[in-house]
Amino acid sequence: MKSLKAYLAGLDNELNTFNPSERDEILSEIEAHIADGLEDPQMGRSKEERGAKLLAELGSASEMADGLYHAHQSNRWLELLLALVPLLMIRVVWFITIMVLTEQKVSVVEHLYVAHLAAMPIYLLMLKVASQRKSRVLTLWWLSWTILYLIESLLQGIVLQRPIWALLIFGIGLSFSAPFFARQVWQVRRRGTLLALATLPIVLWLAGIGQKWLFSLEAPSPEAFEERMLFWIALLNGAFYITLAAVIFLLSERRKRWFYLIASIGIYLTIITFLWAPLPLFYLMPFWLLLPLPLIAGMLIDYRHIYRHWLVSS
Amino acid sequence: MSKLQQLRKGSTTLLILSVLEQEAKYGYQIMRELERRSEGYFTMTAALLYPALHRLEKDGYVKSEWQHVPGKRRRKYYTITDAGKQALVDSTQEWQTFFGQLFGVLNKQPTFAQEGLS
Repeated sequence: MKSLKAYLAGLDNELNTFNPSERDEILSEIEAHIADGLEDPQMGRSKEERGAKLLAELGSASEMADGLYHAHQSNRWLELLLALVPLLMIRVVWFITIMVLTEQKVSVVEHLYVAHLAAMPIYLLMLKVASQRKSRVLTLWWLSWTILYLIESLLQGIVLQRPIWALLIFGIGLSFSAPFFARQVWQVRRRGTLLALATLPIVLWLAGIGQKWLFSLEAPSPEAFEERMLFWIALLNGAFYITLAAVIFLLSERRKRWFYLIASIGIYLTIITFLWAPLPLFYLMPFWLLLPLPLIAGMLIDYRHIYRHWLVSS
Repeated sequence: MSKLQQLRKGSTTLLILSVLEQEAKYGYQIMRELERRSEGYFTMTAALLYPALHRLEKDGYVKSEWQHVPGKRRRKYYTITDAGKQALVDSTQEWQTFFGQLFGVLNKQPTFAQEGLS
């Protein structure tokens, strides 16, 4: 029954934002439904006849996936909060740690590992939450950030000859998380959006590090070096907001998210085109914020029925 | 979507809970039972049925369990919960009130009222 197999393959593809255990369970249920139908003599005399009637009864794979997505969609809203809010908390922790170091007149550059250590409990907590929710998107998101800052802290620690205990923490953490991360990435290797989500922070960070190393090889003038450093900082900030946009995209309403993404990119490029010439590059950095904003606005509109009752009652 | 289709879609929860009232059933069984009871009037695509079942489970009106019978395939059975039974009673009352009022406006008696069903 090629058409029924094609239906199941289509449904599998449409359910790509569900975590694997949820998706497998749904597919098993539909496969059992199909098998029951093919054996039911009341569905038709021949297997072909039953298959044709079953296919009509199943409806379209995208309709099924949309219905299931809506049945589970309150989880998407919560997952977005679990992706974004702790990330902002981590930035606050960094800021507070750097303020404390500055107050203590300690070199921030040499002790940046303290900020990363202070934020590590949040990473571990979010990995635990992602695991409990069996959410592939959250797991990849938090693993990616954890690995990124473990690598950065380890490299900085080695170069700056930080305390051995700090290096051990980062080293042990990396030795556990890296294989797990590699396994997760291997499992989603055929799903482009999830693969991009998993690898984007690390790839862009490595690109930024590589660019910084290249800049240091040349002997530019102080002004040129400052401008290139600012460009590198702008690139990393851009990486952060692009990744943020990718997460919001994955968790948005399936039919509308492409529209929101195109709108985001269109608005951003329009503003950058008009502002590129008159403003130094450094001042363009805040406009990276514009990239995920339309996506966030789209999600707020799509899920207003979830928080509207709360707003009205409060 | 026609008004009749909207009405049918709006009665999905009531129909599913009523089919599950007496005993646990799996998805294909629910669909066939619904057809049998309504003599083919109520037909539901799988794209409507399974999301509805998942939603009912999420809302706590049904619970599901995979059952493996030796010699037969594994099936996911749905059982109505106490909250589901209460929801069924409430929903039935709402629909009866709705049709009672509707036919009252139309100055006609609904068939189920004539048969003494309440």
